[in-house]
Amino acid sequence: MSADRPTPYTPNNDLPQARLGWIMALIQTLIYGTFVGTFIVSPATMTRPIAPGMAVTVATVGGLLVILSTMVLTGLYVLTANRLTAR
Amino acid sequence: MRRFLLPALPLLAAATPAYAAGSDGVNVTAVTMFIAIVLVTLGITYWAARRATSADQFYAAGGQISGFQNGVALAGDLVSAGALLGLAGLICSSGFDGLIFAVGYATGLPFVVFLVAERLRKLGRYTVADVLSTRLSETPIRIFTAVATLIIVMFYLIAQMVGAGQLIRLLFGLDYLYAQILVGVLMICYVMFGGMVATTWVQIIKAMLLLTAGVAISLLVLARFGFDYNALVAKALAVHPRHEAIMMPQVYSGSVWQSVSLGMTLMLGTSGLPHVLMRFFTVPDARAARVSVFWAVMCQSGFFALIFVLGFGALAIVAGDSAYLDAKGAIRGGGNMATIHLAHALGGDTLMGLVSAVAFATILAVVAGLTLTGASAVSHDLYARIIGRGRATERSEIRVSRMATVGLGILSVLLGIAFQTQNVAYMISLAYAVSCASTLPLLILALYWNGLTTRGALAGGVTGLVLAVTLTVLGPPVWVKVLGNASPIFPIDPPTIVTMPLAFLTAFLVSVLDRKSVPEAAMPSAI
Repeated sequence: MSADRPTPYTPNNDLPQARLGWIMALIQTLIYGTFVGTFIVSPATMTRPIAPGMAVTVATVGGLLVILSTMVLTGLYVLTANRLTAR
Repeated sequence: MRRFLLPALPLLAAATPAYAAGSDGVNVTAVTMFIAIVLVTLGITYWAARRATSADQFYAAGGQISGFQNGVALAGDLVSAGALLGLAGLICSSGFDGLIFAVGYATGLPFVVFLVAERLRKLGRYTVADVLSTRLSETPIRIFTAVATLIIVMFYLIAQMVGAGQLIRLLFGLDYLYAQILVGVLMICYVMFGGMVATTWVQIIKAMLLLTAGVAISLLVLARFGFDYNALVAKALAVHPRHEAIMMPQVYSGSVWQSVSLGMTLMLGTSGLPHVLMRFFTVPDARAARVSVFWAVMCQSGFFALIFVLGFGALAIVAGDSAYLDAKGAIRGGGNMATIHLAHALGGDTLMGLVSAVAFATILAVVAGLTLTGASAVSHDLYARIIGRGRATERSEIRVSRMATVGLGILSVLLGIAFQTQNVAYMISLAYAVSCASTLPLLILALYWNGLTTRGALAGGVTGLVLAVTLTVLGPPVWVKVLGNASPIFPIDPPTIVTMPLAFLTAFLVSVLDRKSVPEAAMPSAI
C-alpha cells in the first residue's frame, strides 16, 4: 500500500524534539521499575519499617515518592518543552 | 493477580442491599446534593446545547477548552468511582494491593504527555482514527480503529453501568432497574444535547467535587490521629487480622512475569484509552495539550497520594468499628462502601451524603465521556468518513452522532441489566489489555516510525486485539472467575507482557515485508 505517508514534519515546530519525550518516558519507567523490581527481587526490603518501631514501611514512602515523581517529571517536561518551543 | 480487577471496577462487591450504618432511611443530604448535581449539570447541558450545533463543537468543544480546564476534565475521566471507592475498599481487604494500583495508575498520565498528547493534537481533529489516517490508507485503518474504540468503550461502559446500578441502589435505595434507566437517560441528555462542551463541564465539576471530598476526608482522618501518619498506619495494621503481613502486596505473589505484566499495563494502558486521547482535541493547540496534562497529573497524582491516607484511614476507623461490620466481620454493603462508611464515621450523615453524591457525579461524568467517544467513532469514523466518504454533510453527521448516542445509551442500559448478577470485573481488565495491545502500539508506531505501512498497522493491531481478548478469556479473570474452572489456561493476567511485544513485532515485520514488495519509486522518503 504505497499510499502510506511519512510522519508529517513541521519545520516551524511547536513540538519539542521527540528525544525529550522518550528520555522522560525512560526516566519514569526506571523510577516505577525500581519500585516494582525491588518488590519482586527483595520483598523484605520493601516491607521493612523506615525506622525501628515504626509502622510505615519503605514501600509506603517509596510509593509516595513514585507518585511525586510523576508530578515532578511532568512539570519538568512541560517547562522544558514550553521553553524550547517559545514563540 | 486476581486483584487487578477489583480497584478498577470497584462497585461489584456491593451485592447486598444494606444501608450505611446509622441511618435507617434515605439520607437527606445525599438526595439533596444528588438533585443539585443533576440540576446543575442539566443546566450546563442546556447552555451548551445552543452552542453544540457544529461538528467541531459537538466532538471537540470547538477546540476552545483551556489547558487548565481540559486538565481537570482529564483527571475526571481517569479518577473513576473505582479510585474513590474501590481502592480504599481494596486496602481494607488486602492492604498494600490498593496502593500498588494507586502508584501504577499514577504513572500512566506522564506517558500520555511525553509521547502522544502533543502530536495527537497536531495531527487530528476529532478522533484517534483521524491521526492514524494522516499517514495510512484511510478506510481500513479507520474501520479498525473505530472497532477497537467501540470494544474498549463498551467494556468500560458495561463495567461502569453495573457498578453504578449497585452503588445507587446501596446509596439511595433506588431499585437497580431504575438506577440503570436514570444513569442512561442522564448520560444521553448530556452527550446528545450538550456534546463535548457539556461532557467536559460535567467532568470538571465532578473532578472538583471529588478532589475536595478526598482532601476533606483525608484531613479529618489525619486529625483523628493527631496528624501522625505513623500512628494511623500502626492502627490500621493492628485492626487487620493479618497485621504487618498486609504490607506485602498479594498481587506480587505470582510469577515475575505476572508482576511485570501488571506494572506494564497500569503504566502504559492509559496512553491508549480512546476517551482519554479524545480530550486532546478540545484544546486550541499542542502547547495547550501539553499544559492540560500537567494539570491533569497534578490532580490525578494528588488524588492517588490521598489514597495513602484514605485507605489506611478506612482500615483503621471503619474496619475496626463493629457498627460498620456485618455478622461475619466484613464491611457492611461490601468493600466499596468502606469510603462511604469512613465519611459517616468522620462527619455523620452530612459528610456521608456528600460523598455519596460525589460518587454518583463521578459515575455520570465517566459514562458521559465514554458515550461521547463511542458515538464519535460511529458518526465521524464509520458514518461520515467511511460510508459517506467524506461527503456527508455536517448536519447529517451530527444527527448520526446523536442517534449513536441514544443507541449506545440504550445498549449500555440493556447490557447493564443483562450483566446485573454477573462478575463483570474482567471488563476493565479487557479494556486496558486491548488498549495496551492494539491502540497504543499503532499510535506509537504511526507517530514515531516512518516505516509503518497500512498492512503492518492492521496486522499488528488485529494481532494485539485478538490476543488481548483471547488470553484474557483464557486467563484468571474469565476462565477461572466467570466460567468457574479450577486453573487458567493462560496464567498471566493482564496478558500485556505477551500481547504488546507481539503487536509491535507483527506491525514491524509486516511493514518491512510490505515495503519490500512496493517499487522503490513509490516509497515515500523518510525524513
